[in-house]
Amino acid sequence: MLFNSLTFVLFFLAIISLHYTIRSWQTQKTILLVASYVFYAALNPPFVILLWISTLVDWYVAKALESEEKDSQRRVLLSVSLFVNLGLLGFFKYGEFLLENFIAALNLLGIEFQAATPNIILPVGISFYTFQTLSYTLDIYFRKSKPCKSFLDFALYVTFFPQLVAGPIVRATDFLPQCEEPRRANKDQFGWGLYFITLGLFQKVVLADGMLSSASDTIFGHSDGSIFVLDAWLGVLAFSAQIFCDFAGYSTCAIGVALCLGFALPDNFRSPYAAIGLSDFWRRWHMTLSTWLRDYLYIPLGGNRRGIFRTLINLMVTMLLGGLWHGASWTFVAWGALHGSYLVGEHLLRQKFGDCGWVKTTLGRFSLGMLTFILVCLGWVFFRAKDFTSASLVMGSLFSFSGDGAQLLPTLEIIQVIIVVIGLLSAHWYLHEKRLEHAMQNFPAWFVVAIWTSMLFGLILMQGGANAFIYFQF
Amino acid sequence: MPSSTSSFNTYELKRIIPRHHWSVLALITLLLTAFLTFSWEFYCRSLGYAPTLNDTKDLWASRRILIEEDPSRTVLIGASRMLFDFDMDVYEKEMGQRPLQLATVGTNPGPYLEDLANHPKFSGVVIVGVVPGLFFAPGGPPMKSPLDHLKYFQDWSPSQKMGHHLGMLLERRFAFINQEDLTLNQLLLSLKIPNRKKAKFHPELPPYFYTVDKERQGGMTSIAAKDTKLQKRIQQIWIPLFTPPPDKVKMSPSEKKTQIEKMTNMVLEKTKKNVDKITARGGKVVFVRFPSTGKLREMENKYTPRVDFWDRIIATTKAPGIHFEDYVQLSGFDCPEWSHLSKEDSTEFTSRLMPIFKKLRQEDKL
Repeated sequence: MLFNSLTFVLFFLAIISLHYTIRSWQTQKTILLVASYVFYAALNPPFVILLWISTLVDWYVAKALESEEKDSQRRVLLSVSLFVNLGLLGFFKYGEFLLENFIAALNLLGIEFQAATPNIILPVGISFYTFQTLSYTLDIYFRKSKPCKSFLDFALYVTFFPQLVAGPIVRATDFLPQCEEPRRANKDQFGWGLYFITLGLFQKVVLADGMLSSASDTIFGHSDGSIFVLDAWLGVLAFSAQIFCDFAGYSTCAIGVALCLGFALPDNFRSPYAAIGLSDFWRRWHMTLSTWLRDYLYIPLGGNRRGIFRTLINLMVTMLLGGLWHGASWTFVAWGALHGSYLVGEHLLRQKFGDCGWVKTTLGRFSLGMLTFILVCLGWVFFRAKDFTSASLVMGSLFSFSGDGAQLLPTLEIIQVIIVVIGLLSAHWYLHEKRLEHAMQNFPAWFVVAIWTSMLFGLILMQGGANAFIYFQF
Repeated sequence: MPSSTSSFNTYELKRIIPRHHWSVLALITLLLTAFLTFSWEFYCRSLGYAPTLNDTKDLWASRRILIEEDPSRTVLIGASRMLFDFDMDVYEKEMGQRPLQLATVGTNPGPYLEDLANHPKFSGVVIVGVVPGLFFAPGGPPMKSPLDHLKYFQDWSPSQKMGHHLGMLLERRFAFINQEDLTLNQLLLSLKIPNRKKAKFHPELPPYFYTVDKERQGGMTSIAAKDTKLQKRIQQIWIPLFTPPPDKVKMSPSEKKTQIEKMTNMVLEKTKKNVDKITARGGKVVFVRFPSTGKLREMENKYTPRVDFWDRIIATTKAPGIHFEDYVQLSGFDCPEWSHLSKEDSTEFTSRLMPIFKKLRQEDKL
């Protein structure tokens, strides 16, 4: 089920009504669990079975890990969880990709081999809930937390519908304690939750789908010769803003829906396009994935404790796998590699020029911020392009100043992209050092109402169809 | 990914609620939005808009799914002329079966025909509306539209089905819910901001000028049928849409002719294959050429002459074909904007088609 659908409006009203009329906390949680399965099944019913498999395996593995003392047996148990979770992820997400590359490798070696296309459908959100359940088992394996005592709570943790299909990726240590006490939002918390939902939907429906997707699709869908430099840049900027509005929009809705139910979910974005440096960018972009990769991949690989060379290798490996997490395509690997290189470069530059006074001046910080934004935008080319041919066409057009190339964007779309991108960057710089909550607190009530009404009326005027969120495919 | 673990703080879970009376603000926002929405609704109605269903992929899928329940249904495929000009009530009354309307605007019906041909159980009658410029279009929007509709249907989720029913409830009540004309994007387009001289875009699509019901019975709006200013505007839109695009690669007239011949043959071959598949299962296919008039008809004659396209479809597939110019009773209709019949005329045209259909049925061709 999509947040930006009428079905969800009805579903949400029904869940809220039940949540606030039923007194028993156990019953409330059971309703939330069933509702979460309905939410997921509404997209593709058979895939609920995958959720059940993941839930059952990690529940029993965690129980066994708790009572098992022998390291060898504990490793076996962990392997079971990794095998099942990553096996399902690997089959559904990377099956076709692996087969294609296997065939390509054989053909390269001169071995003629053809296989039928398996046509595997990717279960929505599998990357998200796989990482979420894995974090639970890994925490217990590393003895950082204890297994959950209630199966209902654990199943709800795996399945909680607001963040099930596109995050934020929540840790068990953050979610499970919330299941111990009845959750009820007070009036203000509920109202603030509704504001979050409106903001998230506005980002998705009006900005991402309405104002930006057309320009981005036009530029990245072009295959007939080079693109005029202005159009190429606007297309890349449009996608940069679109991917933020789409994904942050989902996270914002998820947080809002959870708030209305009395639950707290973590922030997933914090003004990433005002980041100063790539390390800073990854502290602000998809924060729950960044911390997951840090805690369960980068640090176990050795982090920054084994010397500079190993640190840089670890960074690169983490970003490559982070890229592959986003999709089964070499373009995502290239995107990860590019960000890995950025981080390696930044790490080295920081060591040499970290103490330079200019870097700390306002102008220096702003310049570095803009440079970071441009580097991130260039990375998005590989993320968005369907293949390397398309990526190289766009990339080449970005730096082709001959004045040639197709002019693909109507003036109206050029204006839309410029306004939205400038607005977005301004908002990110305004919120660079502060949270949205603090900013909203300082605005007068009439201004809040004016913004809220504009967003809501904008949503009504846009009449957006229920377009899927980009991150659903991951 | 931060390059240093020491300076990287884990996300904070605590959620801060800004100091405002959020429940009060929510209520005021709701009231203001309701006021703006109803004002907008009244304004749209004052412009002549009335509540109508949107011709969405959901609506199309809701019709396509019925073939799974009854694979012997009569199915209508084609482009907007089939959607506007064919009256399903008349057909049902005369032929005894309610057809399924699967035609979509600006569409090459080839993918729909192929879908029916590949359906393991389909054995009904397919009435194919032919607009040669679209029927022989090798790609672009005329091909994308049917492929998108079919893909949407294949992936049609329970959530989308539910959303479709809820959406119809609102569309029947509010005139402003009109995806052809009254979305924010359409309103911005109406600003008509001039484009760069060198920029090349797809031609403008005609404005909202038809309605559909829940069975996708289409029809021209009474405004479009009467408003000559709107008709002229739509006529000017048809001209670039029906003009073949310039060649991407320069070629001589003979090379171009060879290329067109090659593509035409490919389409004909594929069409014949699909027709054969349907007839092999006991189904029937009939091609219909609906009226067009004015300069548009002249352009069609110039770019897609009957002898090279329509006649070859009939000759290749051996399926029956009804061309409006072959029957006195089907000729002489006036298309207000050159391409489609008014609602009243569509009923009359379909009534006049029925004796021909009945004759085909007697001959076991339908």
